[in-house]
Amino acid sequence: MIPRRVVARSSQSSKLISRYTLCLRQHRSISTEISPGSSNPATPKGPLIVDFEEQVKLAASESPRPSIIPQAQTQTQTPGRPLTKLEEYQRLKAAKHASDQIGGILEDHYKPHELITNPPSPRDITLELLLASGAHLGHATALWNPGNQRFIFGIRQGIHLISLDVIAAHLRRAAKVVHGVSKNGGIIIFVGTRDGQERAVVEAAKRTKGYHVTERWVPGTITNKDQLLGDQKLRVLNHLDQEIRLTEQQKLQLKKKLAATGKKDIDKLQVEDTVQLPFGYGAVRPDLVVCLNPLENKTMLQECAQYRIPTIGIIDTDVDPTCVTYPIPANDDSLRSVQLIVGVLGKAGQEGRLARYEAEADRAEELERRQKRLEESKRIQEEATTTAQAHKDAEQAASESRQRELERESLISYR
Amino acid sequence: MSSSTRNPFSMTCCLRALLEDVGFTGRSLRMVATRPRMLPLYQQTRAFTVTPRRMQNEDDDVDTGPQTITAKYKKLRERDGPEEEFELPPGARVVPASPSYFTGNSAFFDSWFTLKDLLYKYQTLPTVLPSEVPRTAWRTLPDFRSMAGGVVQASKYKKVRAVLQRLNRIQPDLMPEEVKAVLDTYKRPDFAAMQRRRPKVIDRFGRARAAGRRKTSNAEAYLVEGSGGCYVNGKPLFEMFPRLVDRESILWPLKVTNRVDRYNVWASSRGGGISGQAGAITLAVTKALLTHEPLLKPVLRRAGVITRDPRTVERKKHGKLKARDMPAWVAR
Repeated sequence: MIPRRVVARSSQSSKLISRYTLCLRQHRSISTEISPGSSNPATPKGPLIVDFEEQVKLAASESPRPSIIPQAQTQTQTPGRPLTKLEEYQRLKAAKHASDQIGGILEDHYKPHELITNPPSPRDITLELLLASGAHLGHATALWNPGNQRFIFGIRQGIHLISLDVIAAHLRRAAKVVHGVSKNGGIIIFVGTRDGQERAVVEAAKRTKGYHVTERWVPGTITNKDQLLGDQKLRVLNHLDQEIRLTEQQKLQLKKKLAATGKKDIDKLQVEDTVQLPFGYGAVRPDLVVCLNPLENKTMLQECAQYRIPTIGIIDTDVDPTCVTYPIPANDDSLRSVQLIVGVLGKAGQEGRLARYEAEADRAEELERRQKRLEESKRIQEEATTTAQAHKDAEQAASESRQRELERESLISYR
Repeated sequence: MSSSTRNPFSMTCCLRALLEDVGFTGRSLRMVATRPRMLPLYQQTRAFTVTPRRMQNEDDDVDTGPQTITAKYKKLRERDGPEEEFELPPGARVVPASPSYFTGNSAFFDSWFTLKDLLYKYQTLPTVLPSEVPRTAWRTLPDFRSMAGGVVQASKYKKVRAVLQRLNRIQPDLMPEEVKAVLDTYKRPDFAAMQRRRPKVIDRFGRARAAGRRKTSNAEAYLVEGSGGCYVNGKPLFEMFPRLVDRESILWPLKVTNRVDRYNVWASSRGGGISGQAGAITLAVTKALLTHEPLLKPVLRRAGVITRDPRTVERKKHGKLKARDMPAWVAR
């Protein structure tokens, strides 16, 4: 079942009319009125004519947004002094911030940077979103690969259109794969080697704590890894992505080992605090590869296939869908559609990573709880034994005293 | 088998060995044994578990099947002594340190993406015009290569420099500390020293030394107070330059200032032709004269000897006979 957002068209027309009149009124009068439905706190109250000083004060009084503007040193304002560049800029920004909500309200419009900075998560995939991103637009019918027959919805103006629900389903499946691999601590590479894909790819890799390739895939990166990647650094991490620290005892052991092989003085040896890989360990291979342009990365997909590394790829209507393990039939020529897809996958990877952290925290908690329980039971047992012992001792003492008394009595009676 | 001996672990190598009935030679087996093996056992032996069907069916070949090779391999391992296996602690994963690991050049890409991130973060800050930016010299390519620690193409460093230039254009009052710190790491460390001009001095023999260039000639001249002697490459002037124009050109800076008989010139010139060398010496003499008497500069400027003549031979272009000469047009 594909969730669809209820569109305004189907809502009551009376609502629309009231909003429309409100808009008109806004344009006619010099004062702005806050629409009742709007919950935006930044909507300015008061007249449209902006009182600059007032606005600056207003902006200053609000909780500060995370800003890139360098903070000014508080200088005493002398009346004749011209503004410094910094002050000028801050004033400009404050005025902008105060007035940028004035006017009509744009809802749900496309902000290009948001696909990079805050991409939708796999849960937010809707057919409307995919349609708006142009993910359904394929290639000219003459260029098609017949393997894509099952993904194609129809032909319009000479190009194939990909079925939106197929895109959504495949994208969700791919997101699940990324989520799972990330949850299990796998190495995921995002490969997007076309112009303009760089930033989205890097951001997605950052979210998953994965790896990116934004320029030509060097042939042999998987099949000849030790030669090509051998001299780069590797780290040993735990499930929380932290380096594993050595205990003092382990360090001593390591030192002993090194001293035995290198015939050096143990006291002079220095070892790292964390687990280090031995020299010549070799390079690593990825566990999952996400490819945004399979057409240009044939070699990479072939290498992955050779080493049974699962791949996810955006399959346009002119690409062979069998070249990747998990195809996402979609438009790979539009940056917006590509950014949406890689953003969703990146977000899925991020969620998987967080799930791993959570699971690890739970596991640690469970271990601690078990340890505690074990200690508790041990303590109880010990207590029980001690009390039993005390009882026994007391009993023995009592019986002994009784015996003694009896003996004494018997002695007395003998007398 | 030349290509397959390189990696005795590869599946293709083993398969070929089995199919061609070649078997491992002693040399390649030793390679197997001495190669540092850090992989877990299951990955090492995986290559040997695949047996071509043909081999499985032939009874007499069973002995040379995978078991035998594995056995041989084991024997060799035991002979060389058991190697110590590296054991990962439980729950550990081996992952690359850099997100650009699979590009094969993580050093460069890491620095590139740090710069890009900075640019994305601060690209809305106001900028000044490129002409108003203080002059900065960025690290040279070899310098950058040694800093980044990898192979960097010149075209890539060009892109890096473009990003640096853009960051450098941020309004100086608004320049964030973060950006400043990063830009400083990319600036040429000796730039300030480079900008300071070395003062021209007259040495303890009373000589002023200067260099000059014209066309492809280089010249160096020493000027001493004297009685008008002039030697070029150890020869008297008229011997070195038979043409009057060249001789006049060399002495022109002294002539216009009326100082021909007050200085001795000792010059050396290399490269180029005669007129080029003469021009180069002229410039050298002018500069040396300025060291002795800086006040002569306006006079010499008017005489046209201070400026280095930038004209050189224009390069030849393809499709042309010389720099601009077109081949003769031929009717078909």
